[in-house]
Amino acid sequence: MLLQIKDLFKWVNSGGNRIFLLNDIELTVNEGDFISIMGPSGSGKTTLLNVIGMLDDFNEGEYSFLHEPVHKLKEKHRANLYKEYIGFVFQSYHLIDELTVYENIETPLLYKNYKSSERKSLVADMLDRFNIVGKKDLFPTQLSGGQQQIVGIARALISNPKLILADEPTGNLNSKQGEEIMNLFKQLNDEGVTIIQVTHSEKNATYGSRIINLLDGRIINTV
Amino acid sequence: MLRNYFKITLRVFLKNRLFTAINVLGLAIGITAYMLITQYVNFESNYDNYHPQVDNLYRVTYNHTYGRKDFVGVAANHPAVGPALKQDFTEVESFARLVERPIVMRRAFVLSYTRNNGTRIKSNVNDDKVYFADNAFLNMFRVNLLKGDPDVALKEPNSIIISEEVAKRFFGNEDPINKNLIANNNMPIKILGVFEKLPDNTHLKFDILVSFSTLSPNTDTTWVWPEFYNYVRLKPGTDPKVLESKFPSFTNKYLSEIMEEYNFKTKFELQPVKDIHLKSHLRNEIEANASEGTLNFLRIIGLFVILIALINFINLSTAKSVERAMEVGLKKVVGISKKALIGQFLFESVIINFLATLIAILLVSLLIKPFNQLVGLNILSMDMWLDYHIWIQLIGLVLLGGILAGAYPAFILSGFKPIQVLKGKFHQSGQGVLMRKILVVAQFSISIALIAGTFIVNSQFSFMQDQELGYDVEHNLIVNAPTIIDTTITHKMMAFKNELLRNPKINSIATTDEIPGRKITKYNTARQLHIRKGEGVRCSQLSINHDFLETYKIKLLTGRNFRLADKSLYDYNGSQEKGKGKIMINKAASKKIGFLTIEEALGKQIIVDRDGKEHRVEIIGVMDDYHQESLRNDFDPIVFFYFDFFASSYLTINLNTSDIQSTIAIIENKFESFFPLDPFNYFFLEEHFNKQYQADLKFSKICNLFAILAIFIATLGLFGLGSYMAMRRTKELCVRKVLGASKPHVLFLIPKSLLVLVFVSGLIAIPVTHFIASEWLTNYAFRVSMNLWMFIAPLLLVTVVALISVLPESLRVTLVKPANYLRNE
Repeated sequence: MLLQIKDLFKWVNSGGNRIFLLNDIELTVNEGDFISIMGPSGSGKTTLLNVIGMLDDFNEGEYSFLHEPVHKLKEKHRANLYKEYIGFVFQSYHLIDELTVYENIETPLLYKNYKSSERKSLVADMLDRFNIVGKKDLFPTQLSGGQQQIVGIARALISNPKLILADEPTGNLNSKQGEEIMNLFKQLNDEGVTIIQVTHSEKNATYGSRIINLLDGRIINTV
Repeated sequence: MLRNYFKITLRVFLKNRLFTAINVLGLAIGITAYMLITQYVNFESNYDNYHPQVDNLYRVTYNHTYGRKDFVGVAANHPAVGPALKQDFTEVESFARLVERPIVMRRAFVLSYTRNNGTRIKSNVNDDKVYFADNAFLNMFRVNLLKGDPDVALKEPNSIIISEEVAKRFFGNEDPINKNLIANNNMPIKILGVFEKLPDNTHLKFDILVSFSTLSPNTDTTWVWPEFYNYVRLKPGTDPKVLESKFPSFTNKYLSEIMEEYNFKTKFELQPVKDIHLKSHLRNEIEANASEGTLNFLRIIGLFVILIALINFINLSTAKSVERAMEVGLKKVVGISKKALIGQFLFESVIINFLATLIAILLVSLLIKPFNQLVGLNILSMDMWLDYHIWIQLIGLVLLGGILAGAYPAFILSGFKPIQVLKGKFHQSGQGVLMRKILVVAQFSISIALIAGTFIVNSQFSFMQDQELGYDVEHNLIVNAPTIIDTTITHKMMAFKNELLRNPKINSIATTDEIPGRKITKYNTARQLHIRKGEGVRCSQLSINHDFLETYKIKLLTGRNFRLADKSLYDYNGSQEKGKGKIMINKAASKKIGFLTIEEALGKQIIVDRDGKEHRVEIIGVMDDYHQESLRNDFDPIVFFYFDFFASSYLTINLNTSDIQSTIAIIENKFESFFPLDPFNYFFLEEHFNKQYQADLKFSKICNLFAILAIFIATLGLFGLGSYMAMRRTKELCVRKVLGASKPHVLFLIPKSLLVLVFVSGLIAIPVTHFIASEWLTNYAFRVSMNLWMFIAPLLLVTVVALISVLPESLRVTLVKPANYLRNE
């Protein structure tokens, strides 16, 4: 078991009313899962993903990641946890415009105290693996959306995470590029990486082994 | 439309209170500083502008090669020049001469008056500046006579006009006109006028004018006494250059004989009176004039300060622009033209400038008194608001500043693409980023230069004050020597000294005709025996007694001190053939006269000029150099004379007590009993010496003030820039956080990029400052050596200020939850 969420609530208070963003979430994710979270806009998909990624906190409930109780951890400890085990892929890629492809991929390693030579070989491996060696000195704006997303995935994978969290990874891409990315995810999942993605697309959801449908912050069913 | 502008402007201001406050405050302080500097500069550059027909008013200056190779310019000229010019040239409408009292009445000019009630008022010889002047002077220069007739006030011998202040001192509420003051206890002089206090902005400084006709009639034909200021008024339309071209034959006519005898050349020049204060730096000026360079420097600072403030405004406004992006996008969607948008933003900018100017006017009004005190002059007054020039300038500043500074943000904002903006996506062009970086580098450079400059000015100043002067400056009290003297004076002085020396608190008493802290006015040539007449070198001449070395604690390098039996000039009034005179010199004089070492000088005979005669004298001792004047000037070469008659203006009393006041009381008591007709004045040598630094002190204070202001304004700007940078890089920082960057790392990313800018600014500012500072330091003979710290420290200071001012925004971004931010992208 990779992570487990029990009785999790997240809310905001707005004008005296309590609005639930996440309402009584129960979720268990095992290693090797490929989960798709679906639901209409505002149903809490991204919020749930952020909570799982420890980028966002919650008000009530329990969340354990690799048997560590996340809700009880100090922030620094929590940061170490996600730094170590989680990689993020965003809809709008969120590459750093001022850095080259190579440097973007290298960035997470900088924050994990890898030696320069280790970083070099790891980034080289990654460039190789995704066939972007020729683009390593380009800046993000010089790439197509699909290529940018590949860089984004390469960056997420560089530190060898157990879990990839992807927030509509194909949302800004055309269908062909989207398909490529999804195939890539499938391949990664086959290699043993756990993936949780948020998606609107039924088709993309089918790549996963499990679909969680959300409505108004509540899990309405799991397929 | 305008109403809509106004409404939006007001709401924007209210919504962004802090931002608006920073903007307005920064600009207000910038404008205040600019106005203060402008007022100061205007004051300095309008010296002597108020005299009637000032454009035709000139001073005839004297350039000569006497005792030197090159021409040296002297502000004063021979007393015969004025009358001769008027006689020889029809272009000269009138002339007036002015000469300071000690030059024509070397020793005594004590004025006294016995009031009706019997109290006797004696003049304070040190405080009153007394000049002799032709009657035409009152016609050529504006001296407002409150009482008396300017056409005759200085016509007759022994007539005098006095300032209001002097009148009040002598006469209280009595009417001074036609009353007699008694000069030197025996000479009645009649008061024929009382004049209004002279304004600050004139090179003329006097409290009392005595009629020129009081002097001997021979004076009018004297061509060997270049100590008189000669002013002429030319007929309207006269070209001074044409008149000047006739001067060589004029000087030949009157001076050829003496020039041949002493083998020197002369050249007269016409110097516009209104140029004197800024441009004239000749010998024997009435007062030390200001330098145009300093003024230009201040002008530059003024521009810089306002520039920094405007750059701030631009930076802050563009930084804030993103928050307005939505408004712009919406307006564009509903069809408002780009022109109208630009108009709106310019309107806001002008309003901010207008508010800032209002505050600046208030600030300047509040600063009138402190600023006048700081510079020691009455420069500001509420009257300045009555001058329409200042309003034109201010309105110009509001419009120009508002439009110039508003233009850039206005065009940036109005150029936003509505769809992108509304989508929440908004990208600044690389060009805009570069532009802002250039502005910031400019700001940093100016700040670094100002701080470094101020630092150097202050170091030079404290260097001068801390430097050993070469004599005891702390324990010396100066008392004016008695000026009313008769044949018994030598004995009386001896007795007076002995009386005082019986007091154990008094170490020694020296009598001299000049004291350190002032230029030695007496000078003439000195030469070795084998040097031809006319090729001697100029040395100052100082009369001292044998207590001088001990009282001033000046080191005797070789030879011996004067003894009672010595005489510098045997039979002073007759020929020098009866024997050799004995003199001492200082090291600088030894070198200047041409001796390789002081040992070589010892025992040598030289020829010195004094009072128009040549004297052959022997050097019996060489003393160490000391700073006769401020460290602006090099060591003065001095020949020391020892007279057997009374030739002193000052008594220097070396005290060894902390109980100063009671000792002074004792001295005063004795002085009064020995010399009842003389006023007793005293002052401390140290204080007196430091007066020379007043101009420097003023300059350094002004530099400090404006440097602080500039830094303050720049800090405000940095704060704005920090917000901008933080906002622009929020996404990047959030991504980095998600990728595992620690908080400290994220916190210092923005400050780090500022460091690069500071470094670039340092590269620009330091060489420029170094160059300007070296130029400025050449004004000083003794100068502080510039070291690396004078530049590193300002750089560090600016760095620290920069880091601190961007810290709040960096901190804010660091604490942003990446989830919240990245989702909105």
